[in-house]
Formats: sequence, C-alpha cells, structure tokens
Amino acid sequence: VHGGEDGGPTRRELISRGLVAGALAGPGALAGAGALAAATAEAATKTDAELLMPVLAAELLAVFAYKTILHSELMSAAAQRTAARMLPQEHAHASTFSDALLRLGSTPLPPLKTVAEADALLAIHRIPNRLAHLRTERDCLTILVRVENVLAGVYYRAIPQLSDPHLLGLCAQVLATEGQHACVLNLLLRPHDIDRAVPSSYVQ
Amino acid sequence: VVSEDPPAASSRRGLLIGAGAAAAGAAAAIAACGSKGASQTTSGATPSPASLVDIQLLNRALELERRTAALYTATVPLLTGRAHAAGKLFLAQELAHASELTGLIQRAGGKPRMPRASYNLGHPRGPHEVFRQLIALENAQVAGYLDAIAQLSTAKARAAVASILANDAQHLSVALLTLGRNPIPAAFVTGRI
Repeated sequence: VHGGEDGGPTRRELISRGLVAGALAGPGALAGAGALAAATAEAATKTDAELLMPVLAAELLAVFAYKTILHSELMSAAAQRTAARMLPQEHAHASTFSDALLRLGSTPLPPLKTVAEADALLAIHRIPNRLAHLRTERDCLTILVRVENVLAGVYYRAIPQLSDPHLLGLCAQVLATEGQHACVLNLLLRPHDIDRAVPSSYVQ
Repeated sequence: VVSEDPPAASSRRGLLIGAGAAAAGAAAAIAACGSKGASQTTSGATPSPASLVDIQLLNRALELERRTAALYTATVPLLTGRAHAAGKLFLAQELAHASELTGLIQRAGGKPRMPRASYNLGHPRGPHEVFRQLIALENAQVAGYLDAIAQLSTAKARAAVASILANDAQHLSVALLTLGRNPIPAAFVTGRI
C-alpha cells in the first residue's frame, strides 16, 4: 500500500504507471470528433517507449489479476486449468515489453504488489469488479474478461503509432493472443454463447 | 483440398521495386493512351508507390479472406449444433473483413481483386476434416496479416489489419477447442501451429 488516503495508491503513483493517460486516451473516455482528433494527434507524437508504457502497465495488471484469482481457488478445475495456461503467457508479454522498454532507454514499471493497487487500476479502467471482493467463479472470469478487453484496447491503440516494425509485429501478435484469451474465458462464462465469445469482427 | 497455395510472403522492398515498375508502367500507359491507361490494380489516378504496395498486400489478404469465406459457405451446412452456430458467425465475420479490406484498397486508389468464380475446396468428410481445413486457412490468414502489417504505409490500415487478424485468431481458438486441442497454444500468435 502506497500512502493514498484510503490506504490505496495515490493518483501520482497511478499516473507514474502510465495508466491514467492510457485510460483517458481510450475511445470511451472522450466525447466528440474534436476530442477524438485531439487525442489522435497527441498519440501521433508519442515515442515507442511512451506507447509501450501503458501496454506494460496493463500486462502487469493482468499478471496480478491472474495470480490473485488462481490463488483464490474459487474456480472450477477446468477454469483453473485454463487460467493457469494464460498466466505464463501474460508473464511472457510483460517480460518482452519490459525488456523492450529497457532497450529504448526507459525504466520499466515494477510489478504490482497489492490488491488495493490493482483494484485502483481496475477502477481507472472503468472495470466495476474488484479483486478484493471475489466470491464466485463468475466474479473471477468476469474480471479476467474485462482485463483482457483492456489489454486488447491498449495494444490496438499502440499498433498504428509504433515506429519500430519489430515492436509493431509483436504487439499485433499479442493483440491476437489477448483476443483468444477473451474468447476462451467468455466460453467458460457462457459455454453455449458463441456470439458473446466472439462478439465482433474486429478485436480492438 | 484447396487448389493453390497461399501467396508467398514478400518483403516491402521487393514489393516497392515491383510497385515502382507498376507505377512506371502505369505512367507510360497513361502517356500512351490518355485517361484510359491505368494499371489493373488501380482505380484511376496513379497511386504512390507506397499505396501500390499497400494495395498488393491488401489484395492478397482479400483473396485469402474470400477463400476462407468460401470454405465456411460450403461447410456450414455440414455442421450441427455449436459448430454450426460458430461457422455461421465466422462466415459473417470473414465477409465483414473482406468488405473492410475492399474499402481500404479503394481508399488507397486501388481496385479490389475480383472474387474467383469458384474455389476448389476438396471434399472434407465430416466436421473434424472441416475444422482441420478451417484451422489451416485461418492460420494462413493470421500469418499473412502478420507478414503484411509492418509493411503497410498507413496507420489506419495497420489498425484495421491488427483487429482483423486478432478476430481470425479467435476463430482459430474456437476451431482448436472443437477438435479438443489447446485453444491458446502460444503466448505470441504466429499463424504457424
């Protein structure tokens, strides 16, 4: 816990994770064509390191969420097995982009340490569920699906602006993986609802 | 079995050389024939060499999308239950991708390649063979998009291709699940599983 009034992290700490800016750049956060154009223009001037910081922040949130949920043992064996396959993949993504940031001369963000910190980030991303209030398998899967959707969003926003072709390719590969995770988790939530599992022709 | 292999991957440099030649050819044709002289891949005014590369890459992707849509069209009636529902949904999504690619090609000043009159899709026997074939085509699409994405010259095209390839990767996951295989086989999707 890092000194917020309620025992949670301060706004300064959240900003340092690059998540406030990342969340506000999301399409849901800005209304109107003018605001969207301004956000696009701003994004166009970002460096690859600036674009990857929210990516890494979201991956670290995902790693923390998967670990917490697996540790809770609230899910069935099948869901537990599936989430256990996804966690090392999120680790691999975080590690890849942490290394990339180092190569670009930036200091990667450290892993999240507390549930309060992770829950504050979920709130910033407008995810209403909290890791502190997990009760059922449905709670667990719902948070994971929503975190996967956040991940898809940060990759989708970074991809058009990245200048390094290798990083661009990596982000496209990971966007695809996160899309797969969301699809498979949704099928665990609603096994017969393919329309909810693959809800759009475009993952973004 | 599908009659032709997917188009081989090409470097942007190679495509640019080809595009430069195409642009030069188009310019020569324009000089010789007036306003009627346009390359077969372009819709009117000669696109820039960068746009010509985009048009070539997107037309290759379009061809694969159409082939995959043809396979879904042919095989959905063979499927039942959840597999049938998935096939129907994925067919609609492949058609949406084809439409998006068509728009991107036209905005780049190109002509979308015409669909083939027919596709030789072989005679898959039963749902398992259908899904194996779908996995092969979805993989080819994902690999093709990943090969193309860094070569595309516009942010809009890169974003569209990324979101399409991720959707194709979801189709892959569902097809793998249907065959009882691991639906998330790799941390980095490559289209080669």
